[in-house]
Amino acid sequence: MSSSSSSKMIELRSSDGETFHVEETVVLQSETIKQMIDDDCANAAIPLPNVTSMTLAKVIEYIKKHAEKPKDDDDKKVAEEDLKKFDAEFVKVDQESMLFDLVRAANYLNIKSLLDLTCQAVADSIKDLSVEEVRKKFNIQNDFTPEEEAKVRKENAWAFD
Amino acid sequence: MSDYCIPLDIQEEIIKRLPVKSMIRFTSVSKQWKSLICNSEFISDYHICNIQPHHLLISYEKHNDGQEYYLSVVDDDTFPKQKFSLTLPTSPHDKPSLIDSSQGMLCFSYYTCNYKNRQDSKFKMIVVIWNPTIRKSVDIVVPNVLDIIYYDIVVGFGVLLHTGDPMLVKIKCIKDIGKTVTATDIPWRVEVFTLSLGAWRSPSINLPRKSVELTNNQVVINRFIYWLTYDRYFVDGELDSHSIIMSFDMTSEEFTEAHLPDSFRSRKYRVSISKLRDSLVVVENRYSSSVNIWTMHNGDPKSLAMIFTINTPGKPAQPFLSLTRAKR
Repeated sequence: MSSSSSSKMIELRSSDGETFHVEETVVLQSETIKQMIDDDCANAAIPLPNVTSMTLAKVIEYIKKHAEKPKDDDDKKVAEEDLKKFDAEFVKVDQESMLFDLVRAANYLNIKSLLDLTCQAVADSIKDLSVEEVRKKFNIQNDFTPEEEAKVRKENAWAFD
Repeated sequence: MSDYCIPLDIQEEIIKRLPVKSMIRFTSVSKQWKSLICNSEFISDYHICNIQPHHLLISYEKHNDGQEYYLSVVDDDTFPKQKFSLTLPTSPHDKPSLIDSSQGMLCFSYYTCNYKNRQDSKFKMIVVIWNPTIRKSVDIVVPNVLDIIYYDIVVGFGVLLHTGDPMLVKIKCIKDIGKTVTATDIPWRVEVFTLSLGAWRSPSINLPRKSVELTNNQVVINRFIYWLTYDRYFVDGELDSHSIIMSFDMTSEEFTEAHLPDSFRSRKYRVSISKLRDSLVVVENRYSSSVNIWTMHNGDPKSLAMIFTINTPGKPAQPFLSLTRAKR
């Protein structure tokens, strides 16, 4: 964990004003923040107006875990298994809104592996839902006329079994 | 509720991680979801991100009804435990025969009228391209099949890798080069159909020689369609022939002949072609002695190599045409 002691610390500020100190090597997993650092915009605390402190704490937990470097090849296999377990546990959140918040944060911070993980978790959670439940979940207005909807459903009747 | 407001680009990220069946069901969520899911770019993206397991297709006939049945078996470490039976989108009365499968799509052909009576105006050849994953099929009428006293019709099928566009290539072969006096006057006819265009057209470049006869034994690998083909010629006034491999490049739309080693010239042996992953397999059945299995890569006859022999002393062997990779 405590690799090079010379690693620079970066300060992140959540939408509700809380600040977090994270090693630069860890935070570089976010393409958005990496760009800010490259552009020399990271001398003061980086404001993240789209991410709450609760979500940011989760994101930091994730990138810290994913920044751990295995020592040797034997360790690598163990670490890979460990990371898989961590990922599986990570997306088991109590509140579904938290998962959606993480998806948004991963998208905004541009952390590809976290976006993959959380989007897959959402997909897994909705795959067996009805069309109505999906609309409710994503707050989507049904803009089909009853005739149009009946037609689309009829064309794909097998998928409703 | 506003917490759940997810921008469309993230919705797309979620949708493309769904299994096919859920995705098809969710086309009725909203117009936006429907147009997103049915978008051709989205579909090809989905194919790249979701590598489907390799399947082997097995067809069999039941004795009690004489009908053909199809079974798809997942070809991975679980082989042959995961099986799915496929119900064809055609009527069993049509007696469809399988042309080939490519990129998860299957292609069949059948005739709408009595095969013997080709002069009947209702006589039609229909090709069905079927995607069993989304339960959708398209019927395509093959043009110019009436004037076939002198011809055999061979239809090849493949799916273009980079576009996912199904392609048909129809070839008219002269049946009997000996009896057809004016054979040389009858032009070779090749017509190509792509589903995206929805129409047949005639490419005119390097058509196959008139003396070759394509068989229905086709194999599609990547961008090439291969046919077991007979090269016909006269020796001292007698018609003779031997097997060659004809290939059609679906990208450049060119035909190429691959000649087999001289040992294949013997008429005593039966030759058939098949595939094993990305290699063409040539099966040389020496009836009561052995079955030789050869492979060829990228349509290059120089790469032809015998990979193994099955000795069948005294017992005529009927080789099965599906091959699975060995477990390591």
